[in-house]
Amino acid sequence: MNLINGQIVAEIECRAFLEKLDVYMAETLSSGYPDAELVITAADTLSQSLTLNDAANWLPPDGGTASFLLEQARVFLSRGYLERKLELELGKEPFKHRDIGKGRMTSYRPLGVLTHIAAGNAQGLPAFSVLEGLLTGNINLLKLPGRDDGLSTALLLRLIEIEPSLSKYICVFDLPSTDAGAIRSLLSVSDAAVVWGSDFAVSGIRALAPPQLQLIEWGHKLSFCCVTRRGETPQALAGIARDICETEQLVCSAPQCVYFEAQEFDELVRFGERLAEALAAAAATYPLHMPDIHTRAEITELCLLSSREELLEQKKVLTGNGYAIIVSNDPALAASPGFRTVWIKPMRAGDFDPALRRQPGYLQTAGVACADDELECLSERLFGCGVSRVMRCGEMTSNIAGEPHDGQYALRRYVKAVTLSQ
Amino acid sequence: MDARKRLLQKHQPYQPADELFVESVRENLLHHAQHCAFYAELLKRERFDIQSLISADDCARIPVLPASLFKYHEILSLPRDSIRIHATSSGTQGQKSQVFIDDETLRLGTGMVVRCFAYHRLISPIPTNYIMLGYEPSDDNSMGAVKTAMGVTRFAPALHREFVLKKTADGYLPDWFGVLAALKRYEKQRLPVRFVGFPAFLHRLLTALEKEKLSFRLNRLSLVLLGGGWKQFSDAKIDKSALYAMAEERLGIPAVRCRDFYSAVEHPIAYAECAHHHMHVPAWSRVFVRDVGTLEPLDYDQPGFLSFVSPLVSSAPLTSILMGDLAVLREGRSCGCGIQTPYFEVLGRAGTSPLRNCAVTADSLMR
Repeated sequence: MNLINGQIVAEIECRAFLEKLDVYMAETLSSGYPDAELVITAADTLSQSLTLNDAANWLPPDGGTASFLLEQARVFLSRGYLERKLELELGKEPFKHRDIGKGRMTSYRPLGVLTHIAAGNAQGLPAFSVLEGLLTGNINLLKLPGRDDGLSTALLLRLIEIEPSLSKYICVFDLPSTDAGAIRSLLSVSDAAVVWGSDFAVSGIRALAPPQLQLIEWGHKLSFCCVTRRGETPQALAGIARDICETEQLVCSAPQCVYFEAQEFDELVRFGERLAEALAAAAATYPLHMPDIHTRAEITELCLLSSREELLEQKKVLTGNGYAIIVSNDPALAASPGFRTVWIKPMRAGDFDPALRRQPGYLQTAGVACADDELECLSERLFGCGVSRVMRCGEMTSNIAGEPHDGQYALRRYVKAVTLSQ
Repeated sequence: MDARKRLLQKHQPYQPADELFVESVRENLLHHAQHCAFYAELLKRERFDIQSLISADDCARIPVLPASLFKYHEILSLPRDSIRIHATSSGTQGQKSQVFIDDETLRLGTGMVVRCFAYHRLISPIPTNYIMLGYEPSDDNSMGAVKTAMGVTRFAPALHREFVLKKTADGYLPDWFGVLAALKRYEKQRLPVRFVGFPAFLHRLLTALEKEKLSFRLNRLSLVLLGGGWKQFSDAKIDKSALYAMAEERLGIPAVRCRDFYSAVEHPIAYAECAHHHMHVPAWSRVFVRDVGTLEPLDYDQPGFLSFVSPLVSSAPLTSILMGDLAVLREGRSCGCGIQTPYFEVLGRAGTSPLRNCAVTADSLMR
């Protein structure tokens, strides 16, 4: 579905609009930028209008976690969250000039026009990306992913219904990712491209973008847990189980691997057995969701492969009702298909840090269980390896307003600092 | 390995001979158990008794190996110096499967392909021109797909082979101009033309012809022989019948003369489409579609993992193998081409889940 000036339009009107995109953008830019207060009020109204039924409708048929999704959506759209985010990331009155001496003033201004390239099936993420663009005063051109669920367009349409003056700052294009010409048209009128998605998607836009176009990339991330000997407690294991089960590992801040401070493979296996108990217990609080056929296939194939590899490497597969733990003596980071499939790896001096350093751009959250006196050293080591968030196990997937995203303050990326000489 | 020879050399391709098949499989398993320590260990651990195999259906109980195992491990049932061919899978990302083929397997396998092609009337003595929808052979290219494609050109004497992907200083690059020029020459020469290789390249060629409003009327004995699937081009994949319709429009080759083949480095049996475009199971193989959760064999018409059992290969324990594709099995009678054995339809790669949003997936991490 294409959305232009608050109306759903067909491809033909969409293409016509793209032909004169530079003219329309110039017109809109000259008419002033969206007011943050207006945006916040509208978002807050939207937040309060969302129901559990909405959340259930947004999810793919086999996905679960409707209440988690609803909670996230309500929070991210609420006045409290957005005001705090704006203040923490951009400071008070970001668009007001400040004197920096010698007759010069600086302040922030919106970048202007942002093209958002959305990732596939990211459950409303494109709409939130546009919201961040609106908060910072930008015009937003959203290119939907190939397999779009309609959720983001629905949210933005509701936002426009609540506050019609926002309609000229929001355009949604439902174009195939192979339509390089159309994407180039969007990029050519933009001050920056906000790119979400896999390496493939990011590479694709890098190839199409002119060299002077600013790229703000929110690529795929991988998160993991670190448990030291002295940090392992039943609460920590329960926390890890929560981080895994609450979101079924569908978010990038949920752990795909758990590193345990063990020297020998047997110790690692016994740790795996203890985590297995925690996962089994967690099923009571977090009911199992049946994933789609592809995810199930991926999990089964991984378990079969690992099970056969037990005869060739130091590996052990521990499966139970609704979970699978693969213990491997190889410290290299590995990805999990999700839905309570997790790797256990050794955290040993000498090979742990190099293992993490092999994938620096991918690292995001490390969920840590350690003794209080170990935290400072461990967290600094983790930051040094490329991790941007060190959280306690059990809190990995929680976000509060003003927290940086993937090591950056998103709102600062969507504005520019300008200088005016009196 | 007498039973295997009898099965592959003497027997009718689509006449199931259950007893002979099971005897060959038992022989094959015994061979692997004796020569491959890993496999012997696996059978022991899974408490599988080779002698308990009585019926073809029993073969579903043979401990199955996932094809991906061969990406990460070199597993052999023969000493390295008996290895004749080293074949790798064609995916361009990540690790490739390494499979090793010995002389006997190669001989029997080649014979099997000849019998398959003969059955489907795909062998011709007439000099033929080829458009190779794949990679030019080169010393450092060990892809099974390349060897197979070249092998296929022995079924009609090759006057000329024009490759889509040619080796250059910058690696393999597509040469569409060369292909177009060759096609024009071929049309003038009026000899049969065979297109051999990946469907994605055929699609690109046909799309280019469509764009330029070009079409060819090629000799009525021309053929399109496709294999290897869409691989990294799965986004551009179109329906088979749509692809065949394009081939008829642009090349003059009717759908009945377009055939797809399924084969894999980890299961080097050729499954040819019949005249109704169905891949029937030959006498030297059995297909089990397995539940994606439990791996139990499913009934007809239910989607699951594609898996095969065959006694063809002696160099590696590939007897029972689980592929990375999802498929359904259909009753052979429902096809109508005359072959009674069941046929399978590949639904696509397993595990390309659309569900993940911002988390890194296995294919991004190098192992």
